[in-house]
Amino acid sequence: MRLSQVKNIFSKIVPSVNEDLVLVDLEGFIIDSNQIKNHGNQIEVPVYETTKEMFSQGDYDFIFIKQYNSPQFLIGIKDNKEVLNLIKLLFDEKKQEMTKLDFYRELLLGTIKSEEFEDLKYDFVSKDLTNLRTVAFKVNKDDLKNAQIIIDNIFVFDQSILLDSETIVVITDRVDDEIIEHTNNIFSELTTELAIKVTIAIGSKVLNLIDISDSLDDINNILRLADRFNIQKDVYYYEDFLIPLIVDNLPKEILVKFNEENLKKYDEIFKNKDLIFTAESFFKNDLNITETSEKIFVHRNTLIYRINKIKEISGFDLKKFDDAIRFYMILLIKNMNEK
Amino acid sequence: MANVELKNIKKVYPNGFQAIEKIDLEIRDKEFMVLVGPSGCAKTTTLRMIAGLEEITDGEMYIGEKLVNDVAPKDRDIAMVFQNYALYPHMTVFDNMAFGLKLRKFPKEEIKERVENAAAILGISPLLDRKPKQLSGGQRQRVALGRAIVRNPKVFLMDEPLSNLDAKLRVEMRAELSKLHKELDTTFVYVTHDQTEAMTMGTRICIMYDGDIQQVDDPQTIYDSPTNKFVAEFIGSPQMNIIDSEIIEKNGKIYAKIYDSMLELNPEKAKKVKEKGYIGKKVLLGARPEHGFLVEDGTSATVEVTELLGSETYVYVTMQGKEVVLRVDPDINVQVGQGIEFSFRAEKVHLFDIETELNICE
Repeated sequence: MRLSQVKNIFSKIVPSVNEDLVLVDLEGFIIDSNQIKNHGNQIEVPVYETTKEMFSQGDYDFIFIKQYNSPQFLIGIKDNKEVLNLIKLLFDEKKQEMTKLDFYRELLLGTIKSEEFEDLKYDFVSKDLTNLRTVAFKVNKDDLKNAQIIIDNIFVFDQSILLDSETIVVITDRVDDEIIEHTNNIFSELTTELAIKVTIAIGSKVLNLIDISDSLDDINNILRLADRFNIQKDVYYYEDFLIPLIVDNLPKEILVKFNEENLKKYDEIFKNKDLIFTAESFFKNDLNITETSEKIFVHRNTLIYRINKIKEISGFDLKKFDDAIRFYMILLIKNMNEK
Repeated sequence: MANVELKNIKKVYPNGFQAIEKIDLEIRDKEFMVLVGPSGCAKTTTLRMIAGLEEITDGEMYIGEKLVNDVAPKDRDIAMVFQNYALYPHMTVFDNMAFGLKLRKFPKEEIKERVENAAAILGISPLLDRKPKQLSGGQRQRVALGRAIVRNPKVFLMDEPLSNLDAKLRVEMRAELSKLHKELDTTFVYVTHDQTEAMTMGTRICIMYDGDIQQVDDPQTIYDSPTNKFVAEFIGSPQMNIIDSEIIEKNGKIYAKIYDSMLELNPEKAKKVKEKGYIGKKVLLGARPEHGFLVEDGTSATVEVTELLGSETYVYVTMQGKEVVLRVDPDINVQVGQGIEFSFRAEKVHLFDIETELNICE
């Protein structure tokens, strides 16, 4: 049990106890008490008594708060063994509530410290997990239960966690292609089988389980960027957001200067729906003229004409990778400004 | 009754992008309606609005007699099939098909009855105890369809369900879906970008482009009487030839000029172009490859490529840099580089306004 949890429970007991009550660490320091005078005092800890349910030391009766049979803290009270018994029952109950799902939820929230993680992982992690990603599914709270059944039936061997009333997170060490295939299937299943709207995002890859909250933080970040840059996808994938992440991190003064210099200059392109659609489709189809013209059903000469028109106005030749990247960034900033 | 009606439907995304300005579409009860068009034409958006997965900005949507604008997707009595379908690898075919019904807490007996009925319709009854990995691609696709069928929906919505299959299987499944539509005798709305799928499966086709409906008709009418240049080019493979032309009146007859030759228009077309004031004006002439033929006094061109398909031959010719495709009898021997003259069957050509691109004679 973590100190914050123990302190939290202890603080809830304190108002109901009149007798002198202390929370003590294994070095004997009183870390909390209902008597301010006790704070910071040190008492002798009888390490040899750890096998006993309850023991006396000086004016106090004590119990050990244990985790996996290892003592963590002591709680002592003056002159009221009955209350101490009740406190012990309460802590035993709370300890049992720390389930595997609590452990993963707290990992995702980043509230488990590395030293605590080392203790807890033996109880909750069955295999050594490395190269992990999180996948988040956001649905309406009424659909959460059924959505989790579908997710668990596709990510069969992975851990899914109900993070809050509308978010399910899967922690997985599967290869990227498999994650993408599974998430596409889940999108399709939730839509077709349950007819529900879902937002799915795949987070960054982290090396160790202890760092998994970073992957989830990145999901929250890319969903924010999707909104900021008007990017709409069935499944948001962290690796697709490299350029939006770079633009997002540009200092405000650079963006202001950029807007002043460029946005007016390219207004003729921005006002032309066909040119913007053509540029976006060309990017989606990896700068491939044949593929783009087939997908949007314009003659390749029309497509080339439009690409040349963009070049004529802006100087960017979208057939060249460098120019395409620069124009893509301009479009991102334009979309951002429109928000 | 399971007709679907879209009245003045408009779709604007929160970022201000207007996907659909205003469309009206009536999908009749028990028909197989195909929404077809290129990428970005709003066909999937339209389907998702019918499903309730996309909000309608303005207008009214009816399924049967019921206004469904504010009805949740799950309460619309529809079933969807997408190109990505997940079969649960650890479940049998029976359990895969039963899964959705179990989630909806249907009684066991009813689940069994529905799954067995759907399996019989799809011809997969002997496979019910198998796991997905023991199935072929076509069998898996049937199971995916079965999962929609067991729900007995009023309307099936399908979004490119065959696009992940290989070419051979896709052809097989096209026929299967048409058969299934007849057997289930219910309304199908099917989205595809593939005009061949649209032509072979749809009882009617709705051709979309740039967020607007271009034409809604049965396949043959669309092929024979396209309302505009876009529809004319989009339907048919190889594409319809579009040639710059001019309408000329000479000695009481009306002609369409094709480079160095004249094509006399049939009386019906001649009457229309005259009535609409196109004499002396430039137009676009559309002609399908199969309506072209070699003649001795036609338009001069040079053969660039010949494609021998056995039953027919496609000849790609150029005239002043413009490419034209002609379908000719395989017995006709033409060589690359050879100079030829060709013409089109006058009653089959189309004339499009150069500005509006609308079919002048329809």
